[in-house]
Amino acid sequence: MTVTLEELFFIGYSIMPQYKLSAISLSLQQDGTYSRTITVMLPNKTYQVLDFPGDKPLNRGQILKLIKDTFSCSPEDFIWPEYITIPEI
Amino acid sequence: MPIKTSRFDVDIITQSLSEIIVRNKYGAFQTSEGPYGPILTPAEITIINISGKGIIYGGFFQVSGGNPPDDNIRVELDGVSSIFTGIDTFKDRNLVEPLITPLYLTLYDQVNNYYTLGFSSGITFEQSVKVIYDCNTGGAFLYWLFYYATI
Repeated sequence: MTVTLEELFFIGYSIMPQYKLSAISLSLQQDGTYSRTITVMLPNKTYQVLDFPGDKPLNRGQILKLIKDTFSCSPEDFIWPEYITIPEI
Repeated sequence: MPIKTSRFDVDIITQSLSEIIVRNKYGAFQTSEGPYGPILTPAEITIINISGKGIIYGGFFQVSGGNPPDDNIRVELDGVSSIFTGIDTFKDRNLVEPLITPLYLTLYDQVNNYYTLGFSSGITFEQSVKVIYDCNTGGAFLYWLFYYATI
């Protein structure tokens, strides 16, 4: 039996756990600051909402770090859809 | 090394399905909740700002204090604002049913100075959704519940 490189890649890709960014949400709070949450779709297709730390700047690096620290996944296991941008006030 | 394979036969002709259930699937239910205020000076305030692809399930927005009929509220979907923004405009045009616009008037109480609008449910967005309140006179106190999900 021979397996092409393309098939090997497909097999590897399909069994790799995938975390996907679902949303970045800002919500005004009574003190005038914004609560910041990161919603992630897990490999089992459920969703988890993470509170983004109030003392950290909301940027791509910090979001990826939060996800990496929370799920212990490598950057290759994480999908950031291009339609999701970091919201600004 | 032997390769394990599995095989089972399906007789398509004998298959019958009494019903098929099809439903849209969105992500987990999420909320954004107020309050905020009072707004001391005239200002345009972004209440909610979400980046993602999803759906609005509903909710409401209430304002009291100040002079809300002169204020504006709008929902911005994928960077495009809803057209009717003045709270008085909702009353004047009788926009009191859901889905006519992203917001609809549910309470216009000049005696107690309370005004409530609902968020129309079922509206989808491809990139972002924002809720923005434009306070023209100051003194407004806001409260809201916003229900949504993202894929």
